[in-house]
Amino acid sequence: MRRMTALAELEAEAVFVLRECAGQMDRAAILFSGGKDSIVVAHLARLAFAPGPPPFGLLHIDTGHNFQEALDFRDRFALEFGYDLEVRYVLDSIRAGRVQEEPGPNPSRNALQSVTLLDAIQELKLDAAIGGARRDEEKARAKERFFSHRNAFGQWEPRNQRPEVWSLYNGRKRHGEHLRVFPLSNWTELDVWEYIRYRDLEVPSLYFAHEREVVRRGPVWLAVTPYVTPSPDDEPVRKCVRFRTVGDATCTGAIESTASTVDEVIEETRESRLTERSTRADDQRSDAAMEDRKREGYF
Amino acid sequence: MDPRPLVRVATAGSVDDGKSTFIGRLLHDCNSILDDQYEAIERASRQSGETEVNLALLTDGLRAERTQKITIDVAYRHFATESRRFLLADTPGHAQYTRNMFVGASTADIAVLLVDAERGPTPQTRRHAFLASLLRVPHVLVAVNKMDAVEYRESRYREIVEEVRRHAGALEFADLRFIPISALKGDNVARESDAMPWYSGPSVLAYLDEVEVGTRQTPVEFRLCVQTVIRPDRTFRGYAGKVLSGSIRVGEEILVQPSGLRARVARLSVLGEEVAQVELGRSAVVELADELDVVRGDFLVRPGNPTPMMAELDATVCWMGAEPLRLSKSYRVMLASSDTLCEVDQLLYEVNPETLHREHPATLQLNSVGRIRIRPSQPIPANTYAHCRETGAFLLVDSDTNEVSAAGILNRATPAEEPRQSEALVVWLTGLSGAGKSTLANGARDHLRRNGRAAVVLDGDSLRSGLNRDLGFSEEDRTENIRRTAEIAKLLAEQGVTVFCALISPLASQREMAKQIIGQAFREVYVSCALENVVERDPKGLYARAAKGEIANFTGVSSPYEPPTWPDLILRTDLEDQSTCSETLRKWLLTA
Repeated sequence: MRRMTALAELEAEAVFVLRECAGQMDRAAILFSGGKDSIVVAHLARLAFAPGPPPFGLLHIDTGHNFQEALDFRDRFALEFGYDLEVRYVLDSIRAGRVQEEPGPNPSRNALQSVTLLDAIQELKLDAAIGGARRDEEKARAKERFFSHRNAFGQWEPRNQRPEVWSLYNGRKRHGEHLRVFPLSNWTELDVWEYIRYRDLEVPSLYFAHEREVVRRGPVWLAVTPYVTPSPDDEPVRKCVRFRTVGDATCTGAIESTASTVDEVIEETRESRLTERSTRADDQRSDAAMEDRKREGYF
Repeated sequence: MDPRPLVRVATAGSVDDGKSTFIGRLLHDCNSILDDQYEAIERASRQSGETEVNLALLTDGLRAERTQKITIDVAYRHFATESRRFLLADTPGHAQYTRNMFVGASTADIAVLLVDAERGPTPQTRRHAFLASLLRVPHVLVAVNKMDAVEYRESRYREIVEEVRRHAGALEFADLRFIPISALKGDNVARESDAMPWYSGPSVLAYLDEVEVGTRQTPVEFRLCVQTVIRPDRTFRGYAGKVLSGSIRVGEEILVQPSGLRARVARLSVLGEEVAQVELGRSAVVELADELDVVRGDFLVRPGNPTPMMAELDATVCWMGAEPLRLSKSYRVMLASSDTLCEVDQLLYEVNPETLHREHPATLQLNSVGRIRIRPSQPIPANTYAHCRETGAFLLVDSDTNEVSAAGILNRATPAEEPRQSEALVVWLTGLSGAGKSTLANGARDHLRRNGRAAVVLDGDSLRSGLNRDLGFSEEDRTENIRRTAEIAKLLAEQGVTVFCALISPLASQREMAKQIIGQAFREVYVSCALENVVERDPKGLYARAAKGEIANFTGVSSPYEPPTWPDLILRTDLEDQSTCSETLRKWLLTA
């Protein structure tokens, strides 16, 4: 018998992980930002439990700095597929004094999300948060498990992770602890796009080439939005760009591109010589930026 | 859709075998390192004062790994060729090496073990080979690295191949291959090398690309373990699970284990699409014609071919918990999607993965491998690991801390329906003529008798002088000799007499037949001795006569000997003296 194609195997693996999560956990939610990875996870959950509805709701941590296109897409998606959507706001955490805004112009609230997320997990009594993170994204994520245990403080201990042997996922935990579940661990950026094409999934327009006013910040192009105001030294320019990742507008960079269809994006992704995270200003802060944020409970 | 399959590769090697450099080289030469990643490691190499770009930095993802220049945890990387995609699990050879190798190799189609050509195989090489064999990784490649440091000498390569093969002889491998490489210079990693004209085989990449991976070998019987019950409303009840082996069609009857309930399959679907049949690897939802009480962890099987119900698990485990094994403490066995409370009854022995010797410590510690007997609170449906990886592998989880204490594979099980084995065993000693089988058997018999137990020895020579006088040494006659011996042994054991059978029994098929006849009481002991040694000893002068052609079909000279692949005990009479072997056998009998 022939081996399944890689994508069929990855799909089956992700479905298996989602079902294990449903079987072992009492209350789980999909972390949903309107980004392509979380869209794929939410679609896989629909397939995994068909004809029933997925036993998970959607949870979005809104930094208040999101692209309007992604927020609109998020709301439409939840409505269309009958998902319950909970949104929690970083701004509320700031107002409540749980976290402090970074000083200076155009602060990033990216790192602050972790506190809002952990508060939401506690408030909603979740014992698992399902994310679309992939091991190919970043070197600290390459060490991540499918079922990743978080202690009562929501922290990740990368040096002492639970061993994951065969496809046996140990979701046992004590009260107050939770798990992060990553069904797309073994997928690549290209797999996600191939899957979007294969299942004919809709994604926000930000992922396709469009004209936009941008400014150069270090190695990336940032979109000019209310959260990114050009400084006197900046020279805003109009460019045909698209986003490879969709996150907080203060740190999500665009790339110059003319790819306006899924086929063209796949072609471009295949030929790219840069990683997806190269467009993220938050990862450029230090060599271990991602690991440090993950330890504190980041996505 | 991209038609390429995903092939899973695990790499292992000790700290200085150049594994990270090897992986860096493989990814680099496959064009799988993107520009910003390359710049990042270039920058990091400069910062730590290195003159060349250190490709090893690519896989060291954690801060502690980069500062200490070691790899701590398993990391996963992608690369691809024209025809295949690869997912590479890089298993560190440093801290927690056994546990990490176990994790990485557990899902691998191919294991690549690195050996430093200059230093040769290390104790860790032996450990990695043992684990790859234990986990039954389908293909094992030994990459002899740093060939540039030994002037690409063929003789050095041959020495290492011989040394690894010698150790591997006591292990079981379905496919073991060797390739000389230099990860530093790129020889035979992704491209063929001009530096070693004496080597005509493939590069590592060409090997990975060509080796037959097919579908992982699984048996034909249908097995599905329910992951979760889908019950959106009163009208629908479906059981979701991956097909672990075999296939099933709509209309067939299935049996639910452990409850024993039966029903017909009313409908099947895969990811929301209704289908007539589901097969291996598919994410199925099964609807039954009758409403039964089925829960997560239940097995759906064909009534004519159920999963054995295990009342006791005989397992080899790799200990992964910081807390050592404690007998009579409660653990949980997580097997497929089942989760059962249990106790560990007995620690039979620890295996030293480097010497393969059996040791008898009081407990198992982190990174040790041993054989234990587990008593679950209720029988668990399971198969042996050799039979099916999906239904013979489990986690042992500490029920107080929820941490993984061990990962285990099932060796043999005591089915629940049958009573526990009686005291009397049939100990089948196999090995070359002159290896010392009869001497060891007589010693053990005398020891048991001194302790008031009934015991006998059935010796090949003495049987042939009476009961089997009519038999010669053709293959058929030898098989009949073994059949008769096994039948007598069985009768004696049933009456409480421990039987030691000392027979060359050269073929695996003959010993399998004896095992079939004797059943549960059968234990296989391999009395292993190198041919050179028995020829030199030649207590009965038989090898000398065989060499002159006076004896036909003489095992080891003119007729083959097939060593057992998974004996219950190995006694190396060529490496250890008589009294040590006798002592080992006596100790083993206490727990066998």
